[in-house]
Amino acid sequence: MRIRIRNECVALLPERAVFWPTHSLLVVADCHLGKAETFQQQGFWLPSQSGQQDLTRLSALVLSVGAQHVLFLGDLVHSLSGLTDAVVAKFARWLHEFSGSVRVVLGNHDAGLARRWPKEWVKAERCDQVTIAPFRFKHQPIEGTVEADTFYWVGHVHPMIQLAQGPDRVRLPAFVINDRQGVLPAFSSVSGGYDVPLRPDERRFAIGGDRIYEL
Amino acid sequence: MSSSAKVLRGIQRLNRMRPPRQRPDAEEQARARRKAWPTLSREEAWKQWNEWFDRQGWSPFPFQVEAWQAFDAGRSGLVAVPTGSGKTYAAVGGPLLSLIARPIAGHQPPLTSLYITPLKALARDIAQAIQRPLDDLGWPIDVDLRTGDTTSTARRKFKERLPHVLVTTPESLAILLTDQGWEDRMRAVQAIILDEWHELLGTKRGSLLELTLARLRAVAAGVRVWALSATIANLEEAASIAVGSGLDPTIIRADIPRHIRIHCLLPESIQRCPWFGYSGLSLLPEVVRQINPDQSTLLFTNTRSHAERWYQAILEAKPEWSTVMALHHGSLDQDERQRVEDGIKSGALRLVVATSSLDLGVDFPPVENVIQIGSAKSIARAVQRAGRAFHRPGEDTLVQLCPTNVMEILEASALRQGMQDGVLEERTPLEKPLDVLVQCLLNASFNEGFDPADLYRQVRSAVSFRTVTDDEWSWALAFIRSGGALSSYPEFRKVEVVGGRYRFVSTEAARRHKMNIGTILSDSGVTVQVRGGARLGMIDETFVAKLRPGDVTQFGGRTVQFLQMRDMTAYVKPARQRSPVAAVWSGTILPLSVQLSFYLRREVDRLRQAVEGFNSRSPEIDALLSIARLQSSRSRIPSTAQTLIETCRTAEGHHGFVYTWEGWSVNEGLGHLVAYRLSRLRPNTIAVSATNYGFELLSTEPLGSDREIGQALTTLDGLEEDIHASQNFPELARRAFREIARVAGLIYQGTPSARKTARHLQMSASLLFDVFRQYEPSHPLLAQAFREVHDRQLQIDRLRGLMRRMGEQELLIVPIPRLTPFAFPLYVERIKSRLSTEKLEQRVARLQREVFR
Repeated sequence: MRIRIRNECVALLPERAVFWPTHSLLVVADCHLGKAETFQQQGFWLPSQSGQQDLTRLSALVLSVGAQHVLFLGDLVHSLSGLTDAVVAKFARWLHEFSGSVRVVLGNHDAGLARRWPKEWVKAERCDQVTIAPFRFKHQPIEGTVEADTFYWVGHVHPMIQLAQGPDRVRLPAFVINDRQGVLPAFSSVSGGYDVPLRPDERRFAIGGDRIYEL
Repeated sequence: MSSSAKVLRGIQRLNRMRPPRQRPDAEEQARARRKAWPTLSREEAWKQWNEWFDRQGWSPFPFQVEAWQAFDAGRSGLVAVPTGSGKTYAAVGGPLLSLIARPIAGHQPPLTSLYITPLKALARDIAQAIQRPLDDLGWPIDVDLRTGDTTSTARRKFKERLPHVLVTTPESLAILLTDQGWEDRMRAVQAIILDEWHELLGTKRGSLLELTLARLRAVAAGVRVWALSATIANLEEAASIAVGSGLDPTIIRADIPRHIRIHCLLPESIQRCPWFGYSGLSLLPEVVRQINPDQSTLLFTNTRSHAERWYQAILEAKPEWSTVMALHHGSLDQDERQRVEDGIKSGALRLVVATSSLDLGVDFPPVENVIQIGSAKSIARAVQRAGRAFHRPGEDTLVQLCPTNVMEILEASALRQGMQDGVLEERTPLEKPLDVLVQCLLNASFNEGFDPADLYRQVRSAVSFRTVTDDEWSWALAFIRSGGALSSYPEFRKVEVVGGRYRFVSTEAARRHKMNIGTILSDSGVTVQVRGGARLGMIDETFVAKLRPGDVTQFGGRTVQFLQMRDMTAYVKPARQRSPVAAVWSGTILPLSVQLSFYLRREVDRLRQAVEGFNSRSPEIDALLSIARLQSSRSRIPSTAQTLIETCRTAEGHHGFVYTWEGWSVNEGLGHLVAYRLSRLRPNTIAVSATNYGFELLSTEPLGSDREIGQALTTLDGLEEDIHASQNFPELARRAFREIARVAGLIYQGTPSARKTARHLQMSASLLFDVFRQYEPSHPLLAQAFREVHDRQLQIDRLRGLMRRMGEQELLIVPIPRLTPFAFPLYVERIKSRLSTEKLEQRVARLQREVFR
């Protein structure tokens, strides 16, 4: 679904990503690579295939929109302990196969990662935030007053929307957008989320299968 | 120093370590008594015990004597006895007598008796009841309790020494079995008493307790297990599960003759009773008229929310009763509940509004007046509640039933018929739930861990797990060690094998599992607390989420204003203004039991006969005659050889109302099945809503021909495939999986504060369900979720029986001009989810007037 923000046309994609055609930039938030491995180490079952599948999904998405640049909006990895050799190798392979540029905004889960950045990942440029006017990309949502002419794209909260009809309930990942910032859903397929309450000044876009519904 | 002097020193040292109790003189006495274990012959002990009963002015009931003798003869078994009839003494008499008359006098015996109660709130009462004769007789046996509420100081004390008699819960017992060296400390256990066994039977708590007991039995040779149960239909099965495979249990029935009379409160005009509703408040005047503050009265409701609303409504009608009435339900703070229970015992409280929280365990003198709001939906439950009513020899026990809608008037009549025939429901045990098996393995992985061959033998000695196969066992072992047999996860670390024994990889892994022991789903409950004051109780997070600061609501019989939510606590302050909104807890409506369904269908037939002029001989049917005539004139009333289906068309679409009287969960399953089958014939969108009496289909296109509807309802071929393909099946399985994930330790539960620090381990069961379905669709725990929906929710055997019956019956498919009295509740059930409870009741009243016109 295409929307206009600050006179820029951006596409909200049901693959849980934002595409900005002007700069051929694909933005995904909260990939949480190595989440399954983190859980396994602590004795909780979660299949390793999920992480690989997320990267495969990302490759397909890059191809289908024709993105030349990919920006990870924080929480690329779930935890340092889950960053096993296999997980490092998987993402290295992905970086190798993608011909465009890659930037990684560091999130709260990436705290330890900044200092121990795998050498196989050197192609990816690390940063705290990225500004391409009129947008600024960072991990955590903004609070309080900010520069009025900047619109923020953020991740971190994994917004979900709960739709209920009688006893039937369904929770869907969502984009939540107001006049200052847009929150992306988590890209990871094994991440939960937080139900966001409805606020009058916000637009909410729920992802239902391969479509986006504005609520 | 002689060995007995050493023991004595040891005990004195232990006693000094004990925290001071409320009664220091009693403590002093106990210490004095413990100096020497008395030399008491068996005969002398029995004599003293009987004399104690004499001094109380009691003569032991025959079933009590029988139980003492059976224990003395080394037998295990079950005592079937109503609540409040002296079952505690029946159970503990044998163990206490055998303990006091031990052959080796002079030695301090170790823990010898475990008393397991499903309700931790009852533990203290039970311990006190056991302590009383011991104090009076000067027997130096000590009794203590260990439950989830036990302080850490007291827990440390138990690590030093356990009392002779320990009152505990299934979960606390499982935790005791994680202590280092528990085997040695439990080796001398001679008696295990399972209180309220019927409550545990058929639940995962019961299954887990079975496995815990199997492990305990392997350690404590010669232990005798005695279960206490209310009367249920399958007592033999209940007894054999309690005692374990290979034992022939003794069953002792306390045949305390009791005839229960059901009196249905009928309004003067039937118009005052709604055709739909669960609260019953429209009959408030009738109920208040039955209450006399000179008599003690218990008013039972089926839900906590209704208890809140009834309490408030009675208080408004009779403000002068405020000092003698109280509210009691499971979400109130323990102190508050205790205060109410004490009030009942002392007689200070004359009217208590309660949920099932009071039909169990708590011992108090019978009340003079029991009023049940709404049908109990099961004959056994009605009998259980009647157990609270005072009973004069030679007279009937009276239970007054306030119907919450017109159909419940008929249920009262059905209930009476069932009771007259002496029919009771069964408690069906669960068949080897694998999630419980996984938890048992983990519970046994503490310290040095377990030897798989030994544990396998123990598991299979539990009756519900005797059919566990080698494959299932190997899967469970692989699952805790490597995360699954289907795929291998090299990073997975939980349990390792060292020297052939399975044990936790780290103390951290063990500690995390310890917090997960048990099978009770901890709902995201929120504590309700007065700001700067007392805790009132617990409330659902979903309800709090709807409150805005400043909103006023009823909780625990008070009107409170919601201030703010912080750290899983809802802070409130007392409010003066009235509020019609009572706190609501999530929960499901009780489904009609198979047995009551049978009688209800017969009552419907009698209603038909009454319309045709036969004498009904039932005040309920007489009261319903005008409604029955209306039903009969607009449609039909089916005989027991007919199934009624009403169809009509409104602006909303095409309606089909199907009446089975089989309970809502079966109706919901059948509704979705029929909807799926009909929409497979012809594309159609069909909504399904179900009640205890039937279900409604609402569709945009015509539902189908009479023949098609009949076939969709009765075709048994392809039944399971069609159910799996029907729309709500995955959703039901997802809900069932929540419990499985928690029990099998797939999700990290922990305490609220631990959850905060372990946020990176948070995973919702619902997401995990999706992940399982995607990556390991044939996983045994996923298969279990589907099976549970099959067996427990949809009750596939009951569904199949219903469909077969309908196949043999005449199907009456009747087009109706407008809603009938039968259709009305089904219609409202569908629209009610859109409305708040209060708006709904007004709307029902208006709709009812329109329909009746």
